[in-house]
Amino acid sequence: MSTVQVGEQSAQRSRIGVLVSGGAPNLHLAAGALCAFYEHGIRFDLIGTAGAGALPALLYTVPKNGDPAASLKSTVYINIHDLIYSVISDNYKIFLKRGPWTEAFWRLGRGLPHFDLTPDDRPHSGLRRFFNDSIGLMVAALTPTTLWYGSTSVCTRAGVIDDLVNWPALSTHPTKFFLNAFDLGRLKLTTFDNATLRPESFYAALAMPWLYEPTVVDDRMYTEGAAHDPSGLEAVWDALYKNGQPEVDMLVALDTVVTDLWLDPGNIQEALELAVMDPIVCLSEYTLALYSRLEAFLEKKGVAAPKIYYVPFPIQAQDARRILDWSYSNALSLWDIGYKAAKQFCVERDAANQSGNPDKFERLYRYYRVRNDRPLIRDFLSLFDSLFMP
Amino acid sequence: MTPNLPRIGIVLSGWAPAMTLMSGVMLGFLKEGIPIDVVSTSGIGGLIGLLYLAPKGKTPTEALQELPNLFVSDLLHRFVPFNFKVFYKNSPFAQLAYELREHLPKIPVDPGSSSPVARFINDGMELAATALTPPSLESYRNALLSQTSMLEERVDFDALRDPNFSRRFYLNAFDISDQAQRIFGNRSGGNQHVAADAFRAAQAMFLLFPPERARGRLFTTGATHDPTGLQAIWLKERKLDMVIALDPLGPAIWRHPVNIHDAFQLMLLNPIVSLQVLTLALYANTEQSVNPPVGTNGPLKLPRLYRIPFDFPPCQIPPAYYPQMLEWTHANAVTLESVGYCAARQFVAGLLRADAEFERVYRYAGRLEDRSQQFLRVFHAHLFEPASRFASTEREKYGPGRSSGEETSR
Repeated sequence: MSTVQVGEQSAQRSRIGVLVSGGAPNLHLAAGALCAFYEHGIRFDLIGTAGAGALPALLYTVPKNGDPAASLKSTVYINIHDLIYSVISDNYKIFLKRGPWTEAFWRLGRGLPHFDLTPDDRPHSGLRRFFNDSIGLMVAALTPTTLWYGSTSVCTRAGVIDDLVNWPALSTHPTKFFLNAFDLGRLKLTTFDNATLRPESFYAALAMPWLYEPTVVDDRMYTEGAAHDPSGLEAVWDALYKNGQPEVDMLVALDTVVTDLWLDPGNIQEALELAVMDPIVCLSEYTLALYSRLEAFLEKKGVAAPKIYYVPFPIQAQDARRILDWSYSNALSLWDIGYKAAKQFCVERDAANQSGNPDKFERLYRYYRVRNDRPLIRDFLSLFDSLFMP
Repeated sequence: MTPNLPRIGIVLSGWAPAMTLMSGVMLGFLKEGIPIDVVSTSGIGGLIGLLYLAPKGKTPTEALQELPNLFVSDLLHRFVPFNFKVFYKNSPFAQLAYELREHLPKIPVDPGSSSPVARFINDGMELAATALTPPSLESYRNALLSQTSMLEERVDFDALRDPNFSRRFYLNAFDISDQAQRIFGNRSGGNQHVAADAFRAAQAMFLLFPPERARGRLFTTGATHDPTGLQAIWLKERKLDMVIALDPLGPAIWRHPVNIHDAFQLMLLNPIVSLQVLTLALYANTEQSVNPPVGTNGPLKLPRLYRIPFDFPPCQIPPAYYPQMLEWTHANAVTLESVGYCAARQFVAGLLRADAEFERVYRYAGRLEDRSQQFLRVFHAHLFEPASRFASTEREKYGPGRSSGEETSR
């Protein structure tokens, strides 16, 4: 299925998996990256997701409109017009007030006049977006809430995702799709796949405490899986091997924008998001770093294992402060960064395949080579030094 | 004091409202006369470790026993469910408010006594003082709270750093200037020396407190990067025989919330506890994999990891109690202290027996949670399965050895 070839496997079609990790700031970066992969003709054999990473991955796989590129480009419209966001720094379009009338008001809002925006409108849709987002703000403001101290979440779900994803198509789609959720009864992660993933399980997997209540699917109660495995690696793990042999040759992990997030918060909202993201990003980094060291170790021993690669999202210092913003301009910036980063990855991959020399590609993108030499990761991995003795 | 005890380290880390679970454990060790050679801490565990090692003007037992008085009157907590006695609103006047509040007339109360009326009056005055502390709109910029010298004043940092002080202490913080975890200790020199500024840095969790500047660098808490405190053990203290960790109590955090305040705390704690549980599991499996089996005499490559559980009667926290563990009530403080105290004494009884039953009940690797086992399967086949990295040749070299208690003697 995939068109990219990998190192010593170049004589045959390479099998590729991608990990799209959790964390709302990653949403637009991942959407841009997946769009670049799609446009480059890359079709992943399996996709492992956690938390908010599931949305762009679903748009890549089974968009409602049947056009992955257009759907992924349109994710930027989730964000709020900059002028409105400068006054009300909240994404009221996806974080809907808690209350029994939320769904009704959300549907009412959808029925009000608004502009339909296409991907081509992205650079020059300011007034139309302002109009749409003003209507959305008005509806959000008018939506009554029943939030009080005894409530167990601040938000309520509405059918936002149903407008974007073609759920029935997922069950027959050739790409193996996985999304993790945490089972509060068994106290373990559960992985939803093509057969079991539907709106309820999607919501369950994104039920971050405080934001959303634990969600029941088939009599089991779940919360956000990304708080336990934000990398998505565990979600794909059982599909990575068959009869002891790897099912994919390479795993592509999208950046978790970690180094850009650890900063002095600029305001209380940013501090809140950092408080939530800080350990999640760290958990993802440790998991991927340990796996990358293991697969590199196995490669030296001649044992077949999926190699893991890393697509970096180079956030400029001046943009780092805005990563957590839900403003439209930020969405566009992040989307472009993700898109360019993945495109460059594809170009380098092609060059490696054509030349038959993967050295540069390996140096630029092999996870253990580019990520594991940072002090934080070095100290963590030093625990396992004795295990990696030849 | 018992001869032939192993060289023991303990890692202390936990949620602030459950801090007395840790202090109870340390009180149990003090009662039993078990010396702890190394205390490695993370977040609020730093306070417990410091009070255990170097309290100012008090004995360790007195200092630790006082902690329930930091908690809020049960009656008042029903109406104001947060700890306004420890957490000061973000204000440039926070330190001044703390100093003024120290001069408020208080009714003396025994830390272990419920004294509902006296506590209500004392804490009511504290609440009024909190309400009257002027906030600064500007200071709401990046955190809800301000740190004061309240906790660090209870610690004698000079005594801790005295070259003759024989025991080692570690506290972690995350340096956001260069994205690295730093470990402050009482033995290391230069920038890593533990002091009041390092303690504040280690408490600076995003949202609650602004990042703290120490030694010219900017820090947040290390608990979100190593919530176990184990990193100091594997980086600096590999010669210990054993390291003890308290049960991370994942099920107490991975549950349905009971109200919006509880939900908020669960949101913050879910990934931290997950990181804690998985790090402990990785360490446990690693040490079991690289160390000789108990009963053989080979050298340890990592200190063996043991767990103080809180699910064995009578030292048990029942699941129905879990939501209350995050409450700042005095009753909760006393309850958790007694559970910790009881569990530590039970652990010591097993430690002194040093038999197979002790290994079965307390060795961390032997009782991994379902979630840990699920996570480890990713690495198990190739990383841990060749568990006998303490190769058979080494076993032959060192022989079958003696009992576990004897082999780890000082």
